[in-house]
Amino acid sequence: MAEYQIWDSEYRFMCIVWANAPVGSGKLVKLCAAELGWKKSTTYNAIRKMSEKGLIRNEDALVTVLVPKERVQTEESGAFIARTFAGSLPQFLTAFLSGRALSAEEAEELKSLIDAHRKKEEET
Amino acid sequence: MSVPAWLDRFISALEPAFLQILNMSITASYVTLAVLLVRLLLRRLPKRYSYALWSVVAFRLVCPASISSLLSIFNIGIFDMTAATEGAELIYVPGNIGTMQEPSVTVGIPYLNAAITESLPAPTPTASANPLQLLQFIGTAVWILGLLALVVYAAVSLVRLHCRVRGAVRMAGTEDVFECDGVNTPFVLGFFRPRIYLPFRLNEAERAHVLAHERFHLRRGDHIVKPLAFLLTAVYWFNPFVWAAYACMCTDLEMRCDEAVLGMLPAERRADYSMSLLSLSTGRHFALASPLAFGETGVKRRIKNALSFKKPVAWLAVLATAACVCAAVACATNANDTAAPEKTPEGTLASVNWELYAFDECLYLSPLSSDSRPITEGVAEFYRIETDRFTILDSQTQEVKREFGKVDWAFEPVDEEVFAALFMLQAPDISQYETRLQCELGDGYVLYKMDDELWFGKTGTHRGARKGEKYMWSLYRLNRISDLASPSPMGSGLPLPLRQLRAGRYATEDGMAWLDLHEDRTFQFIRNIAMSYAPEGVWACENGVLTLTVSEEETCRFTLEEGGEALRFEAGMGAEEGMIFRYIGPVPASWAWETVISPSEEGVAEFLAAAGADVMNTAYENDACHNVTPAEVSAVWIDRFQIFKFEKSCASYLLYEGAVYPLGTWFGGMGFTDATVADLNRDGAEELYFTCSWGSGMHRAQAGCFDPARREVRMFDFAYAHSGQESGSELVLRADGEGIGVFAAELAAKSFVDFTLVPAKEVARIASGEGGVTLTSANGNADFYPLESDSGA
Repeated sequence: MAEYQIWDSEYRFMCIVWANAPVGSGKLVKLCAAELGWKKSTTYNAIRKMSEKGLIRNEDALVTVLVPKERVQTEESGAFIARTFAGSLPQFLTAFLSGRALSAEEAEELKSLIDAHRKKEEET
Repeated sequence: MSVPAWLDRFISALEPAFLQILNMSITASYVTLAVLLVRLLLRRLPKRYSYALWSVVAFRLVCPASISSLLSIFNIGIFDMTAATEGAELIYVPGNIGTMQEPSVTVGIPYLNAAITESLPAPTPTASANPLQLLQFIGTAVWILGLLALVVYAAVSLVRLHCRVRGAVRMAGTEDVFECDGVNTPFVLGFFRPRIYLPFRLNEAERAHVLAHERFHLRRGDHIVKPLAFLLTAVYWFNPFVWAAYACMCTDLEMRCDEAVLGMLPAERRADYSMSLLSLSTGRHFALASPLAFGETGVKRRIKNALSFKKPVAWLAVLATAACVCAAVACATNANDTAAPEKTPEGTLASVNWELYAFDECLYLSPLSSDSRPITEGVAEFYRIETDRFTILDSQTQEVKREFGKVDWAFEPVDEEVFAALFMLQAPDISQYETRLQCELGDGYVLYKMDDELWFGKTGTHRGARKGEKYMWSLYRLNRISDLASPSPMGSGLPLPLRQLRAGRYATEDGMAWLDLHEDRTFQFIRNIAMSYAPEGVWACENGVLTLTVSEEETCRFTLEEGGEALRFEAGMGAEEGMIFRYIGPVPASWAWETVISPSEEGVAEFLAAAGADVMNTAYENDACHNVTPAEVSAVWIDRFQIFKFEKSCASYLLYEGAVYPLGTWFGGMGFTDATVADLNRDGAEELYFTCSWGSGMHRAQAGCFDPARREVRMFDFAYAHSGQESGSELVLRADGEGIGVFAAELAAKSFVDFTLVPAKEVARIASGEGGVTLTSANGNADFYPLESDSGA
């Protein structure tokens, strides 16, 4: 049973560590740059974060694995855009520019519209 | 309230920019409304058309000037852009509004103009700054603050977004596609090196749709267009129309992109695309400066648009393109200026006595005025006095700028003290004038009569002062420029009295007639180059009428049109009435008229057929025949007189009504050199006069004549032999007012049928006589040649 939950991007990083550990942090930076398109600082950030969670250890520039892949699962992260932008603008501007957000009801209505369209396509 | 000096300077420096933005903003508002309307009409069509239209709004927001066109929407009845049009620009709020005596703005719609202008506060001469100046300052400050706030907000949002995507991981097998935690919709970020960011865990179909969509954005450069559009919106943040335009543009941008992707998908997959849109819509709209996001703008409308998508048919595309081009031109151009107001109907003007005055000198200008042009440059206005009204006209366009109706011309004596009290500075001295009268025109405008001088004053009312207390704003002396006690002689609407007619050549469009006006006020009038008589005399121009005088009995009149650029023939000297002579340049130096003969093959076959064996015998072996009729002759008498010449033997012939006549002698010389047509024997049928040269040992040039009445070529006895000291071995003919001048001419030849002759000196003259012509050589020998139509019968 998995005990550790991490985000998708962290999981992709961990996959590289699992495949290569034990690995020098310098080499890990190169691997992450090649595979993930990461900058050096991003990789070191990830090393620090995973160490804090206790998944890996970084000693003398050598990264080793503490937790095997089987005990880790990914978690879908929250949508930050909603957190970042919600309510940060004067209300009238938001309303003026983009209209209201889709309500659950509207989404449902649109979905049935699409389904109806699909059905029609199939018949013809 | 005090503002630090540097800030005051900074804001003041930006005031012109603010006014410019304000002016462009008004034009753009109208254009936005028009585009929104067209967009509504095009709503069922692919969105690329309505998207393209937004570029016109952008053009209006960026570029202050535009060309004028008939198609412009500003030609529509509700608009009157005459007051706002300044060159290629539309200026609703003038740059000097803060210091204007009577601040006035226009919005281009007459109904609104008055209301707005009325609400503007007038300057108070006693205050250090007048209210409008202050308003302008505050407006500029607020504008800059708003602009800064929006730019800072956008920059902060962007930086935060960049921080958030730092941990994004590149998708395997791609260069610029990254998967990112914590986002729920795909988007594009970056200006120079844009990247596509996707949420994790998209299914195959969704990913394919999203990537196709975002890649289309990148291909079209939308990641650059959108921030630039936002920047424009930020500059025009005070204008709701611009916000509306931005919002609609963003929707159109996305829908156009959707349609491009849908066009590539098979029909049965299109519903899936809508599903992707729905599942990836965030339900949140971070509108301002948002990156290009897949499920962002107007999802509901986009889904419906996607479901109703059909591949557009060709004819519809053509139609829509045409409609878009028309709409774009209409919105991008300014009104053409033909809409000059014709407020004075011709009928009433003709029945009224009037006088026209122009600005002469500025006698006084209020120290409050920032406009010093009246002193330095004068005022480009005309002032028309009529029995019941006073009108101010623009001197360039003659448009009515202001009209005072119902003027009773009740002049009252001027009180010297009251007059002097009007002036904040030194008043003009009026004690030297015996008769001093004044007449109120209304709205503070006063006309003064100082002896025989006319002064035109504008007065203002002191704000906050005792009721009725006035001060003088400006005072001009006027100069009478026309005194037409009788109506305009040609009965045409407004007079064109002031344009100075310039010397030069004025020619008809076909070039067949011209009028040379020389600087020394002499003229030469070639009514038709075919006519031998060209009147000469003196010219004078007054009140828009040009008069040519040859003698007391012989005069003719032209009226000036197009501001003196064109002359319309009215009467006299037997030319055709209504002919328009347009200025084409200075009068060419007389001897610059060259004879240019160039060979053509026109009619050669007919000529050879008509000529027969006799003519061929005169030709050399392998000799070629060419049509060498001078342009002057062929242009007037098309195909009537055709002249042919062999390029080796120089044998020259005239083809006239199917018959061939040898033109003079050619053996050992040039043969035919020049021809002109004139009716010198005055029998009503023009003769062809020509020159030729011959003689191998002694080169001789001669003139001759073909009389169509007698159907005979007649050589004149006069023979010109080049002496070697003077220039010119050949002869050419020049018709003028007194007949035909025979000139010695300098030859520049490529061949015997392709040459130029420049006249150098008159060596003889052919003049009209009773029943014939007289040739007088330079040494005074005169010979008469009878050319009578009945004698040859």
